[in-house]
Amino acid sequence: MNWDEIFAAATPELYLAFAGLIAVVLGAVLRERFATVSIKAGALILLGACALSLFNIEGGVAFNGLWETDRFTNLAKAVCYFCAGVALLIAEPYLVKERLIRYEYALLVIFASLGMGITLSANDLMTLYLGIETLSLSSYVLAAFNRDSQRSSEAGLKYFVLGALASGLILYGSSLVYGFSGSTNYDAIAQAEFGIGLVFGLVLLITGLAFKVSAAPLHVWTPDVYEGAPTPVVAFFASAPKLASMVVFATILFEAFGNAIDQWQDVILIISGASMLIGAFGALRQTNLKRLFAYSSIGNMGYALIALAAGEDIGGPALLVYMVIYALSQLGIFGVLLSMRRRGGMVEDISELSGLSSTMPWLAVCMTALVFSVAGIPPLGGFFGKLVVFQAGVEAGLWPIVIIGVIASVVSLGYYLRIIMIMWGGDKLAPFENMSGTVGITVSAATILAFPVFTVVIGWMMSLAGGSFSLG
Amino acid sequence: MTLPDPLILFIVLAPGIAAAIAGLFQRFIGDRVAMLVTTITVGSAGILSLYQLFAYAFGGHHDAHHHFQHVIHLARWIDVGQFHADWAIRVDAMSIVMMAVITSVSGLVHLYSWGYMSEDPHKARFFSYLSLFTFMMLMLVTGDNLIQIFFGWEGVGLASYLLIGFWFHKDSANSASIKAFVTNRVGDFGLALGIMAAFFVFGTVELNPMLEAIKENTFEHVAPIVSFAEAATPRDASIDFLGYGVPVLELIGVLLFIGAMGKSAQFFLHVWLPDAMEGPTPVSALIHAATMVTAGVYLVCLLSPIYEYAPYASGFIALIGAVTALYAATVGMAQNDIKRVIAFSTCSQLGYMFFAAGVGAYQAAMFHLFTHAFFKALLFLGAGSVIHGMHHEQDMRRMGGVAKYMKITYAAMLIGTIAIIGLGIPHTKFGFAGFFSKDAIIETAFAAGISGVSFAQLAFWFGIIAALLTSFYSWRLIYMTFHGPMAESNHHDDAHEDDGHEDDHHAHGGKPHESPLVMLVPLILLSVGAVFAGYFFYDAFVGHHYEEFWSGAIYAAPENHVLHDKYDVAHGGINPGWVFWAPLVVTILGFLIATFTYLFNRGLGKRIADTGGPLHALFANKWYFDEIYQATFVRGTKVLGDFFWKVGDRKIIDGFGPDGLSGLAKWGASRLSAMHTGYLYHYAFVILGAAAVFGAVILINVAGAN
Repeated sequence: MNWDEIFAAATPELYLAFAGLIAVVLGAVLRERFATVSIKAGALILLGACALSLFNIEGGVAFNGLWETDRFTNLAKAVCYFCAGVALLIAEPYLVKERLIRYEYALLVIFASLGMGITLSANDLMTLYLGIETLSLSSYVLAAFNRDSQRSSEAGLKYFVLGALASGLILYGSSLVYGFSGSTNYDAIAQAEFGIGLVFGLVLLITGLAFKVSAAPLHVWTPDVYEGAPTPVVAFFASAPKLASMVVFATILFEAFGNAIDQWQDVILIISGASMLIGAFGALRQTNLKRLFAYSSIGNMGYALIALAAGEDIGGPALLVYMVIYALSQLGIFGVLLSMRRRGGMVEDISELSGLSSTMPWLAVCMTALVFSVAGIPPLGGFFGKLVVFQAGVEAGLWPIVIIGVIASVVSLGYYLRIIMIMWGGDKLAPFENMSGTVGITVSAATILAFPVFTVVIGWMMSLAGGSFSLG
Repeated sequence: MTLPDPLILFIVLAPGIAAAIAGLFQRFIGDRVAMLVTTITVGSAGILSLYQLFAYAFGGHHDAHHHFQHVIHLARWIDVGQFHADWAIRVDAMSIVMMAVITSVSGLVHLYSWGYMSEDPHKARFFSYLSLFTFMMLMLVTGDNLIQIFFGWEGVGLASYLLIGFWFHKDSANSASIKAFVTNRVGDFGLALGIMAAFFVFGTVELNPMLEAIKENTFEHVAPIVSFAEAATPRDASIDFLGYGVPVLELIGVLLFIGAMGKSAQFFLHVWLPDAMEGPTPVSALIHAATMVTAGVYLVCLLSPIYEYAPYASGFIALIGAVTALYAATVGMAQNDIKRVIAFSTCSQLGYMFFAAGVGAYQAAMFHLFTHAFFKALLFLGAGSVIHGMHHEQDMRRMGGVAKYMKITYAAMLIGTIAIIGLGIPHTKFGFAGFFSKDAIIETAFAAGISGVSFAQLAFWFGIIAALLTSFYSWRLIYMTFHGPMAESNHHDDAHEDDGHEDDHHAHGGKPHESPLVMLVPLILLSVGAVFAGYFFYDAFVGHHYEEFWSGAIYAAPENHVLHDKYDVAHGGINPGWVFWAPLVVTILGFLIATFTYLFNRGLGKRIADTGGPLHALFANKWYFDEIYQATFVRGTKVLGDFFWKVGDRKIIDGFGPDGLSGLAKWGASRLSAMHTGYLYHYAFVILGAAAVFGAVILINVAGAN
């Protein structure tokens, strides 16, 4: 075993696993006393992992080719760890007020993040499955974290059952791929002839991965889970795992099945178009904000899939840029949702935002900017995200899907603008309880990041991600 | 011959600058400074351009066969591919004449307005509009391309609109300004189409290359957009228009003339001019008599090469002009508003100019334009003086006997009337301005008729009848206003009802009074013009020196020699002797009828009017044009608009567009929600079904690839 290789390629994950295990021990020993500390400690650990990913950005190959990282994956990892850390931080006030504060929460987030790291580093179907299960199992538990709440338990159970089905599909698909290509290694699969057996394997893999990114028509779990799961958990789901799953989706299609793009491109286009349309139309009638943003996220996955369908060279950087902007703005939006607390508990209905502009102007400004950004209004970040994705689609000649995307954008403005209209035009309601510092900072920071300053960062990311994503 | 460039620049641009100063800074500089700036600027421009006209006309001999033209290029305006338009000042005989008319009349009107508008609270605005109009009119007449002409054309339209609606708190003024604007849109649409057609055919909107191409009858030096046959020449080329092969010059000529019809209030598009009298009287004098309404005549004369080779377009012009001359004269007889009488008189005189141009006597048209500017401005300003003296009474039935209160005004109005009816002794140099120009028109029309020019005979006879009517209604105006006993003195009470000035209160006990000196000076100066303008310029404009004077600015085809033919046989022409006496005879006849009806038998006219009769009703109601237009165009447009609004927009566009799409979105959203049951086995079914579909798609792709 070559430790130099391993350290070069897998330092952040080793560190996360190690830190997570120490936290388990600490939790077992300290129990309740560790609960509040665990959140901050967990956030620190995740931010450390983020730093390590950036520090180690060139990556490498380890474990005999099971594991491969490069700048693209390390960048994605860094953003995932960062988002997970922030999601953990903004969870604390909610957990305290809802009396849900347990040290397991931080542990689950850490292990879910470890799962993300593993899937992102995977260069082999086995590694991939290992990572997906680590992520998924942690997620199921997180969704049901408020186990006394019927809705939360139901969400967790639904997520688990359907997630298990998806995992089963991935596993079955992997075994078919192994059977017909003789290898589980991406590079080896790419060399194999694309026969009928591989077709079935690929279909099952795509189905399972589309489920993980909650793309239509495999999105069915998303609204229920978003609505039922505790809000900070949704904030976490909406950001880091989405990013990780999408990048993994892209990695496996580009690396292992890049030669068969003509065969799978249509499927991705179908998924993409269905996601955009369902995301746009499905949200129109929602009154629960969490459910609304569930549909919003389905739609946004559709846009990201345009980049995926555009292929590795054109779509890869666009995909990463889009997902990073998306993940960061989701943190801000859910930060706002987390601060929607009146006496008597959390409120989630869209009408509760009424008159926010006069009761809490800064929050309303932030929410407006973030929603506009997600809706893709220039000059906000989300606009550039959509722009690069559509550009990629156009460059790849995928006109119809880009047109569908534009139409879906217009339709989705219908509900985004409704949020804004209610905030700025509705009757004044009692203000929300004071939000905690971390939530406020997160919301503000996400808002600032949504502004054009961020385009500089986008340019830098494009250049950073651009060169590293090539078929070997 | 012409002024140095800086002075020409001053004449053209200074009124614009003055308008900007008076208009934009009126709050800072106050009324008096604004009035001073504009009046002095335009007045000095008037003196300069009058000097230029005299210097040009009498200061030297020009080459009759060489086109005298001096163009000052100011800046490039539009430069897109083949499409060029410059800001330029073109100085030639045409623009020299127009500059003199515009700036001198405008200067006098500025001065006059000091008195006439003295009680108006918005003096700076008024003077700013006046100067703006002057500037735009100068841009129109000095343009060396159709685009700048169009700019000036629209600019004077704007100024006209602003000034008709100057008393914006009067509903009638607002409606009148909108009516003027909308009616002019119809004409301007034709003008714009004409310019486009010209560009299409000649590949340029610049006058010189376009007109040269026609004169030389070759497309060699221009680059047509439309592709013609190899041997095509401008005079015989035709293009497809509305499915017909139309000769290009006819098409351009008619379209441009439709623009001229709108601006110059010719038959069918004349309806706005009487209503435009809602504007202050100095505006009527300047814009709706002397200058703007003659822009159409100017345009036709300027583009004489086109019309020389467009016989149908020319015939159309002659026909419309002749009909307008007669029509407006009939209506003018039955009007009671002093300004409306003069307005219809203007309309009628413009008809004269157009049929002169239509029969090929462009010089005569320009000459009449020139003299008409003086006596018509004089008549309007005189009428304004009466209105001012009568405390804003405009109805002639409530006037009478004003002469003894307003002697100078009366004298000026008499001069104007004699000038417009064209009194003078044929074959001599004794006559007022209108005599020279109107008789020149009538003579050329007859000569053209002999030569077989279409509609020239008709134009001649219509012109003769119109001359009779002109004499009648002009004297009727004089008698009703100035002679006889004063109408019941109750006029003062209700005179204020339709009175533009809120703060208008005279302390004269209702007695008419002579206007202040500042209003009389312009009357006197214009009287000089009304008397002598014809005498001085006859030779230059249409007499023996016309070729030297116009120096190529007006083009006549080799076969067009109406100006030579207009003399009697003894003087080398072809007209019989009676043609020269006919106008004088009918003029005197008209004078006698008017004198009999309105002076010696005062009240007879009123009795005739009261008895009614269909003819009087027809005339008094302007041949029911307003009613017909109301019933057809206005109501038709409303019905059409209603249709587009209710069916086109609401049902079709909204129905399938916004409402339909949002309905679809709502429907889709509710279907999606309904599909979302929450049952796990439904979800699982969807997932597995999706997998099946994906598999099918990829299998089809693979099969297709093999």
